[in-house]
Formats: sequence, structure tokens, C-alpha cells
Amino acid sequence: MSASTDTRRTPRLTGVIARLPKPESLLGWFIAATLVVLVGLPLAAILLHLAYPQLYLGIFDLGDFDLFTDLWERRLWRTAVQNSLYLSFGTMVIGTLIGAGMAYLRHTYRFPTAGLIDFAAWFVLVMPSFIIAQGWVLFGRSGGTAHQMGMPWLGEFIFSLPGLVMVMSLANFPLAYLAFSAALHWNVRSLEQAARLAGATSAQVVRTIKLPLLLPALLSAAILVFVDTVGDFGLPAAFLSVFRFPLIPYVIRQEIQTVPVSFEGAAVLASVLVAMVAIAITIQIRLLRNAGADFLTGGARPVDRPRPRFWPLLTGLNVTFLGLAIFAPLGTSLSVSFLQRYSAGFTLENLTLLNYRAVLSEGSVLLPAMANSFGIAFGAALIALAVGFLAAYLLAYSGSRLRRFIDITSTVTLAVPGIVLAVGYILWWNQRWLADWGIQVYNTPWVIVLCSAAASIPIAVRVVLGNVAQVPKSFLNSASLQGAGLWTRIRTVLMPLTLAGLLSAGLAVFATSVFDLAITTMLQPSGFPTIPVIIDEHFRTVQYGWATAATVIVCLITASIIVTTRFLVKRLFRQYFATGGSQ
Amino acid sequence: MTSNTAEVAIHDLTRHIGAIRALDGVSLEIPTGETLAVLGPSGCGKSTLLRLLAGLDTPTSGEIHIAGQKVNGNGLEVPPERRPVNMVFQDFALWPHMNVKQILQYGMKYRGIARGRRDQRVTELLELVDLGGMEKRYPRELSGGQQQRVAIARALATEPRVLLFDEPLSNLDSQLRQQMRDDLARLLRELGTTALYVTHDLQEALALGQRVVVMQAGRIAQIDETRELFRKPATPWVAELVGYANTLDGRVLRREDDWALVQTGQHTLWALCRDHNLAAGDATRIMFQPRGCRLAQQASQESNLNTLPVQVEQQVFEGHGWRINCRHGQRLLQVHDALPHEPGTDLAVAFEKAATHAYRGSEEAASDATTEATARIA
Repeated sequence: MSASTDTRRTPRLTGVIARLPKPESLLGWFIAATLVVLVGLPLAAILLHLAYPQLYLGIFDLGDFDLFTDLWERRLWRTAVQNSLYLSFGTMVIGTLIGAGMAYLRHTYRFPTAGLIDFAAWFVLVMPSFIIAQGWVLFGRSGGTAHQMGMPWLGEFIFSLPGLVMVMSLANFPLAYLAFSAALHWNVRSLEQAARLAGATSAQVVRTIKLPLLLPALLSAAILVFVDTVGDFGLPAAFLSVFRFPLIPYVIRQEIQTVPVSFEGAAVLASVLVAMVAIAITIQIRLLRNAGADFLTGGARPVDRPRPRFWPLLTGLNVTFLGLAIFAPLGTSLSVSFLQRYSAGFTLENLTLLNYRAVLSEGSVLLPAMANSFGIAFGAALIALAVGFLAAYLLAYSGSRLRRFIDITSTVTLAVPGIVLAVGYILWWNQRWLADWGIQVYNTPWVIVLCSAAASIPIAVRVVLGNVAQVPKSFLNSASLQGAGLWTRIRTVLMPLTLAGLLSAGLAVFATSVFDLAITTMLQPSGFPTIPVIIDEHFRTVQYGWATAATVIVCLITASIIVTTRFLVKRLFRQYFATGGSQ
Repeated sequence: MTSNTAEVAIHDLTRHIGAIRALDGVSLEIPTGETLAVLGPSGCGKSTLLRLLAGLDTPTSGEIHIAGQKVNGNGLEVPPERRPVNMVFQDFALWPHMNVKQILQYGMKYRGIARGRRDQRVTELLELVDLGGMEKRYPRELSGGQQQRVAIARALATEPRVLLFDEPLSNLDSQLRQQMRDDLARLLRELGTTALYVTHDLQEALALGQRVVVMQAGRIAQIDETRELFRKPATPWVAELVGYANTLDGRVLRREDDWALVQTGQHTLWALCRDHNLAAGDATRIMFQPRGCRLAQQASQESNLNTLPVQVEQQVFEGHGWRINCRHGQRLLQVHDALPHEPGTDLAVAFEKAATHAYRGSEEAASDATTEATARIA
């Protein structure tokens, strides 16, 4: 063999390069620092404001923590905490029962329309909660769909605590459905067969083998529903105009957006919300730790599902349920967008396209709002994707000491409600000393971009990590031994092989950021309209036709952007998708 | 420090992972053009050694010199892309989004081989590994053996000074593995490139390595030429690894140069013993191979053979012959024989004295053997 090409470099240059910090190490520090700025500092700001209530003014005076006593002395706060707990626990029980029940039926029996449950679960999951909640309000209001269908009692029922529990359960059942489905999808038949051969009846097998194995998944699903419900901002925002039912997320908004502004009040309520979520997540971690998930061995096989004799009953129940979960709220919203007068009902004379004309007319606030929101979503997607991809690389392949920190910080906002993160952004970026230093992020669109990116980083990291983890490290090591440096390896090997995951993560972040009501409503600069906020404002001022037409248009445009982007990327990088390279 | 002819020189290399000593003070040299096989079970540190050479892992301490250049130590850590080495990976690591030509040209591009030479070099490499005309194929369109050849061609493409092989045949079926082993041995002979071949398969190590390093728990248990490794395993552990499956415990009666006369039970055996500290009266362990044994009705009178009485306990047909499990006292001995022997038959097993090795044994085992013999006499 001939001499190595490497000898062409001078030994001195090689020596200097070899003594520099490793690029991977520098990347680790860069990502860790980015996560500190995006996630760590805003969350730390909430905690700091509990101790130093005037910190945003630059005054480091220790507070007296009096506000915590207000949690039971202020009626509104006490009611909000109680209501949040009632609603979350109720939804946790009912939503989990619905989700787990649907999952059980779906994975135990074969019947027509069963596949629709998966579609419905994903559809409801990706739909912004405030749009679903608005649909329910329109469905239940006096003169709404329930009344027109001769079921006024259903309308009245929705505007009560049990009704809200039902609405939230129908909106959050997919979390329980998907979590429980994952556990049911694999059936360790040998364990059950061993129990039968040991003399257990099939009922005893269910009680002593199946249930204990599935219980952790069931409880874990319940916790997920609780966490998502307690931090939800969409429902209180949509129901406020019709039914006064104070919940913590909405009271946080009031503390910041009504005079007198109380940052410390928002910090106290945000910390209560975080404490609730933290307790729930701690319980979940303990459950999962003891779950014995390693029981899924090579012996686990996908379940064979028989078609039962009562399949028509199952199909009927399924269609009714899906009709209630999807068509009641979203069908109502769609129909209202074509109505001249909401209360006049769905008649031929009442049909119109005027709402759409108003929404799309010159001077309509929707057009600048779309430009703003799509711009914010695009920026958030770019940042979240870049941070998520590099964090996923470090988590999957690097031996960096910062891995654990990156793992925790990039996951934590998954559990932190958007409203809390937004409060953190206000408390951090609104500090006087930052303005004195010329750092002006607060009250600019950048604060929404950064907060949306921070909220989306866990999604980006997890989606991309799922793909990155499938690329063996030897693919990168072999590139390295071919002479490729870190960035070349990432660009020429890892990115092409994970393009599908990057695309999915980017589009998911984009779509969720377009409709993020909690973050935009809290951080929107004055004179800077955004889609979720203007839809919410029109809805609260009872301009239902306009709000629903705008929702339909934005949903269609967002879907078109997603479909077109997917198509273009797949076409441009056909070879990566065609060769099975992108997993 | 480093001899002039050594292409790779490793000094006191250590890699600790937490409390685990994956590699513990390893030193060795590989002369230019030699293929050195590294043999050992999972977790012995052989892959760690390979990764440290490649720069894919950082040693806790120690130094590595490749082609006369120091690549690590004292704050220096030459990254993999700047080391004059290349590797064939266990899973081949062929990038699924590139075709064969792109895969082979990848390293040429980043290692600075002129654009004009790349096409010609791809053709040469594919001819070398018998894959001419397959430039446009994607990895998924190749068989396991063809993928392996592409992986080898890619490793050669950058013209490395040292080739590293990380168990590259372990993903192939047994028939293909044997064929690829022979092809690879021929290729390495033709190329004359310095190579380090890591494997847990004894046959591979013997077929491909000119010398073999046996590793145990992060340390080198023995480095020797392949035949010497078989003839003179340095420790009982190495002996067992290279097929010395039969063991007997006893005490040294007397020493004569490299020989030891050992009392085991009621019998005496001659064995080679390289441990000159092993003296008369010391506990010892005797080891010999099943393949070097033969069974007979009578004890052999040949002076170069040790003989022991045994009773056949089990016969197992293994295709090319029979494995006979025999009992000698409390010990079970294995013998490979062309013929079957009925269980219960009393026979004598004979094996060469020069193929019998004595090592320092445990006092407890030696005492047990003596007690057992005394009891049998009583």
C-alpha cells in the first residue's frame, strides 16, 4: 500500500488541531448554553420571583411569601385551584376510562370502523384545544347545535363541571388511548399460557397476569391526561365568555394582563401549576420504574384479534363516540362558519359565504395575523429543529458530560404548561437590567419565537431522536475514519438518514406554533396580531361566524403548507427516501 | 521506546470506564506488514483496544504511535479523521443512502485524494474485491458477502497505513464466513498492509493472524505466533481458550528442565512446564487437548505418551467423528475418536507428553485429588 495521504499535512498543524477541544465537546457546551437561555433561565426566573418579587425592577429584596397565603385567602385563586383540581381529576378518571376502553376494544376485537379510532385519536390530539373547546361552546350554547337537535339538556349539561369534564375527556382521551394502546399492542401470550397450564381460569389470568402487567400503563396514561388537563389554556379561554369557571391558567393570564399587573401573583400561581405537574410526573416516573417494561421479550407477538358476534354493536358505539368527539365540536364550528346568524340554525336561507369574505377581505386583521403567525411558527420550527437535532445527536452518540443536563432540560418543557413557560419568559426577558444592556427581546415578536421554540424542543428532540437512534453509530464512525469531520459527518451521513424525522419534527413544531394560544396571548407585542389571539378575541366578542371561518381558513392553509413541504422535500431528496435511507 | 520497524506501538494503554478497567496497561508493537489477530471473549477489551487505535475512544492513560507519529497522550488526541488508519466494521456500516461508488469515493474526497484519480481507484478497488461493475448498486442490493467486500474496499480506499477489523465476519452465515475468511487472508497477504484483526473466533484468529494476542479482563494474557500459541499456552485460561479442555489436578513430584513429573491420584504424568518457580511438592494443574488423545484397550508402552485408565461414560456423534466422554476418578475427560465406544467400557487414554502442560494449581484441588486417590486405594 502507498503512504497515507494524512502525511501530507505538516506534523505541527496536526499537533495543533489535535490539542484543540473536540468539536463534539464544543457542540455539547453550545447546546447546553442554548437550552439554559431558552428553558433554564425563564423557569428559574419564576422561582426567583417567588423569593424576590421585585426582581423585574432590578430590586433584590427578599419577599415575605405572603402571596402563598392568598392561595386560600383570595376567593378567585382558591376557586381556580379547586376548579383545576376537580376538572383535572375528573378528566383523568373519565378520559382514561374512555381512552383505555377504546384501546381495549380496538386491540381485542376486529370490527368495521375500528381503524377510525386511531385516526380520530391523532386528529383530536393535534387539534389545538381552544378550537375544540370553541366547537363545544357553539354546540352547547343557547340556540346552538344541541338545541337545534332537540337536546337542550345536553347544551346545559356542557356548561357545568361534569359537562366540562366530559368535554375535556373527549379532547384528552387520545393521550390515554395511545399510551394504553402501546401496552396492549404486544401480548405476551406465553405468560398467559403458562398461567393457564398452571391451572388458572381465563378470568383468573386476566386478574392475576394481564391486569397487573397493564396497570402501570393504565396509571401512566391517567397521569398524562391529568398533566395535559391541568395546564390547558384553550378550554378556559373558550368557555369564559359563556360559563364562568375560573381555572389556574386563565387566572395567571388575568394577573399579568389586567391592571394592576401582578407578576408575583402570576409566579405564585405558575409555581402551583408546576408543583401539581411535578407531583404527577414524579408519580408517573415511579410507576414506570416499577412497571417491569422489560417483560416485552422476543416472545411478545402482535395480538390476533377475532371478530366478535356483537360487532354491529361495537361499530354503532364507535361511530356514535367518534361523532361526539369529532363532529359535535368541529362539525359545529365548520357549519357555523357558513351561517349568517348563529342562532338561526342550519337552514338553506341562513347559509352564506359572507364570513369567509369578511375574513379574507382587504383590511381584514387575519391577513397580517397569518403573516405574523406563520413567520413565528417558521422561526420557532427552525430553532427547535436545529437545537432538537443537535441535542438528539449528542444524546444518541456523544459521551459528553453534559448529556444528562441536555436530556433533562430538553424534556422538561414537555411537562411545563405553555402558560407557565410564557410567564417565565415575561419574568426573565422583562427585567430592567436587560433593557439597560440593550437586550430588547420582550415586547418583540422574538420573544414569541423563542418561547414557542422552547415549548417545542421536547417534541423536536423526541421525534428526531427516534430516527437518530436507528442510525448505528458505526455509520458515523466509518465516516470519521474516512476523514470526515463532525459537521461533514452530520451533513453527509446523519442528516440524509434522518431526513424523514427532521421533516416530521419541523412540520409538527410549525403546526403547533401557529395555533399556540397560551404563549401568543401572553407574549404578543402590542400592534402585532397573531392567528390564535384574533380568533380568540372574535370568539369572545361573539363574532362566531368570523372566528370559525378564520379557523377553517388557517387550518386549510396550514395543512396545505404541510402537504406541499412534505411533497417538495420528498421530491427534492428523492434518493434518500427511495433508498430507504431516511427511516 | 518504539522499534524502527513498528507500524503501531502501544505503551501502557489503559481505559477505565467508571470502576471497570476495560483496558489495563496494554503494551504491544505491530511490525510493518504484519496482521495481528486479537482474540478473546466478550468484554475482554479487544474492541476497546481497536477503538482507541482508531481514535473512536479516548484512553485514560498510555500512548499510541502509528506510523512513527504519536497520536495521543499529554493532552494530544488526534481525531479519527486525521489518523492514518481505516476500519472494517462488524455491521459493515455501509451508508444506505449512497451507492457503492459514492461509498468508496467518500473517504477519498475527505482524505484529499485528487478528483481525477478517484474513478480509477474505485475500479481498481472493486476489481480487487471481485465486485467489478457494481458501482451503481446500493447496499440493500448486495448480498452479505458483497456488502462485506464493499466495506473492505472502503477501508482500503483511503490508503491507510493500518487496517483495523472489528469482527467483520461475525454477521455472516458459517459457510460464507469460511469463504470470506480465506479470501480475506489471501487479500491481506497480497496487500501486505499492517492490520489488526479483532475476533472471538479462534479459527479466524489462526487463519488471519501471523501472531495472535490473547486478551483477558483488559490485559494481554499472551502474544505469540499462532503455532506457538497452540504449542505453549502461557496460562490455564489461554490453554482452555485454544482447546485444552481436559484438566487434572495433582502435585509436582520432580522437575527436569522444562519438564515436570506430576502425581495425579494414583498416576504419574509428564508435562511441559514453563513456570520455573513451580517446584516439587507444589500444587499443579495438568491440561491437554481432546484431539491429541487416543483410546486403546491397553495402556500404551510408548515412552513419549502419558497413559491413564478411563471408563467410557457417553458417546456423542459429531459428524466428522465421535466425542467420547470418559471418567477418570472424579474427573470427566473428553476424547475425539474416529470410532464409537460403548458406555461402561474400561479403556486407556494416551496423549503426548509434549502436548501436556502443567501450570500452578490450587492447593485445595491438589489435596482433593490426593484424598480421592487414597480413598480409592483403601
